[in-house]
Amino acid sequence: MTTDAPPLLEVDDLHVRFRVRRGVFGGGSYTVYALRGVSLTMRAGETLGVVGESGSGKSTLGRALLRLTDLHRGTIRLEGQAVHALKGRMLDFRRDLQAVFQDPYASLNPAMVVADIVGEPLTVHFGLRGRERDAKTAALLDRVGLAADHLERYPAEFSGGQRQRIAVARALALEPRLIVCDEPVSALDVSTQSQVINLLQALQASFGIAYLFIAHDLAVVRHISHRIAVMYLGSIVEMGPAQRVCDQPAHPYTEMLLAAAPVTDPVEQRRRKALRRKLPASELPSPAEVLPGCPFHTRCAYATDICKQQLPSPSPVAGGGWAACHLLPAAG
Amino acid sequence: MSELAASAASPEMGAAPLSGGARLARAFLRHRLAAWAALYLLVLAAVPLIGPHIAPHDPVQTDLARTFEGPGSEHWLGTDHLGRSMSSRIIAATAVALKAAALGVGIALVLGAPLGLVCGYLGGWWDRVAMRVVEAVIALPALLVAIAILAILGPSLTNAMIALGIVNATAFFRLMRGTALEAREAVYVDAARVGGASTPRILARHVLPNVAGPLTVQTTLTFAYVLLAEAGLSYIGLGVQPPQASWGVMLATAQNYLHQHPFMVAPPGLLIVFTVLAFNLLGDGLRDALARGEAPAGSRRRHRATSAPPDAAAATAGAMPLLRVVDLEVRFQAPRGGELTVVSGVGFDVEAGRTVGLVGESGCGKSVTAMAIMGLLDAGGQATGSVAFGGQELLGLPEPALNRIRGGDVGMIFQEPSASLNPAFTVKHQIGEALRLHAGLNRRQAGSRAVELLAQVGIPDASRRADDYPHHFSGGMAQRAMIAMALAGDPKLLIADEPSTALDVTIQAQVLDLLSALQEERGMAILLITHDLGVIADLCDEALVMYAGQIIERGPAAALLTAPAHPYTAGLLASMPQNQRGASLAQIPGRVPPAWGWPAGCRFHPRCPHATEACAKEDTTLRHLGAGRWNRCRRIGEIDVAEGWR
Repeated sequence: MTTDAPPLLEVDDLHVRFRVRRGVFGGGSYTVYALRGVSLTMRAGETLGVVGESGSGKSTLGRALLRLTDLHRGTIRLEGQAVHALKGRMLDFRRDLQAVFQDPYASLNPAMVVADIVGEPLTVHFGLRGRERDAKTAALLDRVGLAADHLERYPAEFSGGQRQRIAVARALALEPRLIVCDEPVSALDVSTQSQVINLLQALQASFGIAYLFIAHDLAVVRHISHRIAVMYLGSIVEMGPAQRVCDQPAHPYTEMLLAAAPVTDPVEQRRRKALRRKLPASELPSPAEVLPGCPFHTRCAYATDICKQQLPSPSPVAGGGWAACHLLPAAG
Repeated sequence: MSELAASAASPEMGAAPLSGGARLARAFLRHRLAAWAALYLLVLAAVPLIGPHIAPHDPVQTDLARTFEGPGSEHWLGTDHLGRSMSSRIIAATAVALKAAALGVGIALVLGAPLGLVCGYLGGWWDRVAMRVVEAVIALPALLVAIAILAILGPSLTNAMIALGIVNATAFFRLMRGTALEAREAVYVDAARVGGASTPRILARHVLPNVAGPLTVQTTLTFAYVLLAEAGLSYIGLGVQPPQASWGVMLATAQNYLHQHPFMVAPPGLLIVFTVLAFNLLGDGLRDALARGEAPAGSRRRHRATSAPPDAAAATAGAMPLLRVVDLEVRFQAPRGGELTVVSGVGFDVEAGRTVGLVGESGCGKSVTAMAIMGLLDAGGQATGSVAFGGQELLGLPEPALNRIRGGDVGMIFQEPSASLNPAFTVKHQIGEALRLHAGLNRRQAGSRAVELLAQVGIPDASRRADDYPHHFSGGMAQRAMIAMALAGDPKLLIADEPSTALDVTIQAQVLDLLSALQEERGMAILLITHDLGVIADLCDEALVMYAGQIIERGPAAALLTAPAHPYTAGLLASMPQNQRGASLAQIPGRVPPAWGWPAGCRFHPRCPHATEACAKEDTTLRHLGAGRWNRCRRIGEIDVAEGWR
């Protein structure tokens, strides 16, 4: 875990807000606090898993890093370069940071053939065209396990797993240092899901690419990640080595997420079901409100008075990482 | 149902690869009328080019000695009141009409489309101003606006077309803006931005191709509109000025002599009718051809299922379980003729108070099986075999009798709760409706019972929330409301088709807990359809694994999950991550075959590491292995199913 080199990615106190417009005169407008002070670092070649419910801000985090959404405050540094201050097309930055999106049915333009989809970044960045570009594109397809004769086909002719391979090939085209994977396998069937996971791992092993792997499936995240960040209402509430976070969750929210995730082992599933019954059934509060105290206290089975008043600060957890919870034994 | 849509739509792709253009042309030619319309318009379009060369006379040359002649060898269509050749005039008029229409449509297109594209994509202040202007123009009748503009600019055809062009630009503006707005949110546009594509590039390469279809249709229809408007304006003297020929001018002249020489109306009148009709037909044809994957217009009526002989069902009624499905087969009309079998030989029992899970990947036929049981197959679907519920045969039962059972003794919940609730009525109203229908309650009783049910499914503050509309409910709350509605008829069996798939894991867990709590209270049976083996482990007593339209393995859920006996089940389990970071997961090669491509022999054999020659040839049967376990694999006992996936 110790390194001398500067980290690949440093995010500090990142805030993102959306103004939701309602009505002609804006009478019912309100603000959604999508990210509320997220800080994290990533090393080269590392996979950081990000989990949380929908509305937790995990996808917004990915979009903010990709600069697809406006930042309210905070800094993002990629290899020391201040990404948050970039303007315009940010071509250099785009070369280092690429993305694979959730739904391969939506992320590939249905009106373009594979050669154009995968080759577009090559044209935009390096001005490659024609045969030169096609040769490079074919090599990319080969790398993700697709044949070169797929070049002139439309996305509709491929299965979900193959489409996601095409999306991965597009992300690889610029040889990025980091790929933001936003739910890359959740739209796929189980048997194709494993193909894409294996592919991502193999690519990491050969090229040292780092992944920010956003997903709601804890089993998948645990399998692929070195570390896991658990997000709740726009903040990271727990972060640490994947195995520690999954086996000894320190934050009650992580415990709740784990209990909710169904597994195929009937014995383990019975244990989770029993644990679930002890936890209160509740839903994510509106991300438009900022409650005082710990953001999770409205759903927490163990909440005390201090949880309703004071925002807990991160404290280290035995086994690595940290969690933001008042109920953790004091550090030391 | 999505599986079904996929299997119905995809034969197109399975066929020999066609280029996009050829496919479009083929789809278009299937519309006979549209093809004829296109041919007619092609001929008409040639008129402005070759018209002046074939017209025998000058269209404005008068010959007062030869007025009102009937059709003859020199003047094919006769002459008018000034002795001008009607045939020459109609050729000249057609040329004028088409040029004018091209001008009008051109202005509308050039003015409206790019502006709409840019405003929609960039949004913000410019977009809002442009929208207000467009709304103001739309609020006025188009022809009136044109007349007003003409009153300022003075009557002339060019002015009229400029006016119509401006008015019609709003339609193009709105079309393009709508598409661009949609595209702005599209994931593939995000992907292009991440790739570094500039805004002009995104508009040209990503947005425009997707709007090309609707734009073509809109252009065609605007042509028809502008032609008609040109004729109308010229008719009332605001467009083409006599003595120049135009359809409207000719019609106005002919009207004066309608009683003496009725034939004069025919040439311009018929041309207007046919041309406008042709443009509209062409537009319709193009729209249908461009709507890829859409089912052809036709009967949306649900097909009646055919039943097994009634005696057989009645004879076994004594010892029947709650639901007994025997040898269920579902066929669909294939888009290119013939029939497609999507489910075959499916049979299982659901005992009262038990939970049976039907699990499989998409395209394996699990949802279709549930729909067939309920008699809810889409148009063109037909089920054979036997589905007996409480001893009563459901296949072939008339619709009213089925309606009494559905929502009564059998409740159903679906994957998308918000799509299954009607947004126009309050939740209380919808549950109350089910109660009035199936429990015979009056309005007031139904209302209070609906609130009770909502409280029972765990909706907090039920009496107040009952008056909310479905869009006020979160996904989890909407699914609870759907469950409350399914409970209205006090069902003995609940069919749940992916009830928690669209929900977050935490909410999914709550819905699963609610289902098992309700089952304990009410002793109802549940048939659960899911793709998630974890959900099976959570809720089910028995599991049925489906692959390519067949049940390939069946048994007690816990036993089946811990010791799968079929290579497919074992492969599915091995491909799921199991707490071993970085380890390579098992991969089942290939993909689930579509219904038109099921292999001979064992349907899994092309993907199976244990397949032998016999597997490729001989059909499989579901054999009983003892201890409630059934299996379709012929090599069971010879092989270690887990071994093949390491």
